[in-house]
Amino acid sequence: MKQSKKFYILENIYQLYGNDLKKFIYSLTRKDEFVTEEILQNTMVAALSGLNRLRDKNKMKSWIFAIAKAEAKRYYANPNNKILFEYSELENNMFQISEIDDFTKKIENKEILITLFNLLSDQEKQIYLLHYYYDLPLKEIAETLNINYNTVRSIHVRGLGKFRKFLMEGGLA
Amino acid sequence: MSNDIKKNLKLKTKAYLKDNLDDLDFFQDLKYNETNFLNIEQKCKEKKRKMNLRYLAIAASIMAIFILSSTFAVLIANGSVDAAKFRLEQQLVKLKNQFTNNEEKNKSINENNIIFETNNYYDMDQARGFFPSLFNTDKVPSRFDFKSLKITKSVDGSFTASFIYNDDNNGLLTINQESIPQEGFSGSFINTTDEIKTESGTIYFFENSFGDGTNAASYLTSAYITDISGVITIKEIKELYNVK
Repeated sequence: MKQSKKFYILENIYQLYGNDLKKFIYSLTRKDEFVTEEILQNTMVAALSGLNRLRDKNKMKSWIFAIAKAEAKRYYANPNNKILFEYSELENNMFQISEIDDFTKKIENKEILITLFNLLSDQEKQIYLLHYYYDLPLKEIAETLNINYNTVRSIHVRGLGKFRKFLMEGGLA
Repeated sequence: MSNDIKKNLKLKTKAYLKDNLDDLDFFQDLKYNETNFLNIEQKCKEKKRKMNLRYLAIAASIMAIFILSSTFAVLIANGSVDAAKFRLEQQLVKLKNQFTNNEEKNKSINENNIIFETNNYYDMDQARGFFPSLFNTDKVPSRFDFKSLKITKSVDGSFTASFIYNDDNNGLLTINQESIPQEGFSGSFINTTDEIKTESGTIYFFENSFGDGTNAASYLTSAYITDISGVITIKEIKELYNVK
């Protein structure tokens, strides 16, 4: 494929998915604009060289998101680029899985969801978005960001603990 | 973590937020500038230049091995050409790994094997370059995500390849391909539920009558045996093997 045609296709891909892609990378970098721009540029470079391998145009979005994930993983594999996570041990009674009610029934609309989301710390918001909106398994989040899996799990559970406490202890007006 | 809670939270997150992530304050500082495509073009050229330099360095090292290695000539004279080629390939992998960073090292070596491993589907062309008869997985049902591929090439020229996929419910699909030894296939198939003969060999099906969705099959040809098993229907297995 000619270089000029490749660029044309890439520009079209960016017009279609660029904002969504940027949000995804922004989530991966936890709101670091400089790193977001660097990973975005590397993603576009990788996409340009790999355009010949894109066989199914219907899978263009998932294709470029996969490249972005790989580039983020590459970035954070460098020890100089470590993303900081505060880790602390979970309390013993934080989440007894078999005993808790499904508090999600109380999330009845978007406003409640946004209220809950705003209870979270930045790192909890990051894990929440990557896991529940972008469908990344916790293990994959840990691998991509080059952090300990237990750290990711603990942040995830802590975040959900805040949701549960708010909903079950009458936080809704 | 309760699977129902996770599942419901996932459904509600996507249903309520849809494509409107801008409603979250997390993204309030994100700027949507024009991306500099000129910069991307320059980065592409730089990447290509660095790769070319790397290949030149590898080529120079290979020449050095050829010139300096006297045992190579002895092996050829003794008729052990295939073993010599394999050892040379191992040396090439070792050399190349010295010039690549960790993320690009798909190949490694141990005593009698060269191993290719990846968990990135975009390395499939590379995998096929390593093992030209690699089973074609283009028809794996789209609900499965590629997780990993490991190919082992042995000194006797035989290959084994293992694909792992999983779906949204962590259901597994594995595809294993193995070279048939020179002396031929010595196993047998029991409890088969169906057989299909093709131009290249025979496919043996093992349909699971318990209805948990898992099935398996083995395709035996003169060169390879390819086993498919997992949470997949017999119809989908036939599509993978390219039969009706």
